[in-house]
Amino acid sequence: MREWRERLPSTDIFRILEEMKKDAYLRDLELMILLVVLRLGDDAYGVPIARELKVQCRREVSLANVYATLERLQEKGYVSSQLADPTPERGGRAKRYFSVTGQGLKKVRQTQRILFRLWQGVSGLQGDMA
Amino acid sequence: MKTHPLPAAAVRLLDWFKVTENNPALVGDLTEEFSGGRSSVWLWRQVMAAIAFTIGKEVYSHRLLSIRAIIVGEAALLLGGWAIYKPAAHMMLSIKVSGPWPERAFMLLIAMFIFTLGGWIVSRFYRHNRTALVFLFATLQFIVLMVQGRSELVDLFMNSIYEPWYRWYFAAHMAVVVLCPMCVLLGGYLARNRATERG
Repeated sequence: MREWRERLPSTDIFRILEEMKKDAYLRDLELMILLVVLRLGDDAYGVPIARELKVQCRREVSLANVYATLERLQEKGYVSSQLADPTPERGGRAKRYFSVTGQGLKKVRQTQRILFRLWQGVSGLQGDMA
Repeated sequence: MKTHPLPAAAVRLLDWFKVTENNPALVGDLTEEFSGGRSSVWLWRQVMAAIAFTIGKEVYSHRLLSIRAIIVGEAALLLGGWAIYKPAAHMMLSIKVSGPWPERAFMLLIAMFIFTLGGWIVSRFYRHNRTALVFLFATLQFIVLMVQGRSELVDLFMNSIYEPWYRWYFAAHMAVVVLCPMCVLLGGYLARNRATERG
């Protein structure tokens, strides 16, 4: 009785699901945020990321949603973050700068290739690519 | 740039739901944007979203604990229903009161007490994640009460459109649906206060 319990801990199913999710495709917001972080370069923290999403994607995303997505991307190893010094105009709180890792860049390229291949197969959308 | 501090209520809520503790950079971003001229409506939408995401994340990362907290809370409600609500209902049957309203008000108070107890127990049992788990339990109670009373609520609402005196019955039913989950939150808050005073 005790043996099979030890072999199969209660959290196992959750761990399997987590592992499965790591290999999954990027969600649309994840891809958008990765691209925005790449565009912003050294200035990629919460506020400019949310602003750039609004300007480029015409999509109002809450700061909490931006951070939740970035944390998910960080867990997958696609972005890394670094805390800057606290500033008075932010109530003494530091900015958290994000940058895309090599693994993240690889994933963006892979997603681009997949989407491009899918795009090419749709004759009605060929002209809209540019 | 001149700094406009966030409203005290927003800071308190962000602290209470551990948003500041878990993500200080997000609170810094909110302060920066608010100082930059963002409206109060924008700020409160952001604060609510931040709280919802924090609770969601905490529940998601402690899934088994959340299930256990719900089971413990439900057990407390069942026990309270059996030990307090049922005898009180029997007692009310034996006492002659004029009209249904005093009886309803008394039973509502008893139910509110039991739900407060439920929230208090969840909060005491799961101290480290109390805010998220009490909130989850209260939300679940709201959904359960809404689902249980949906047909009655719809009937009363439809009747109240044509017969104004039905509005009182509708209000009384809605009071149960709204007040009981609020009492769960109150119970959680009371347990938190006691623990803070001791700690």
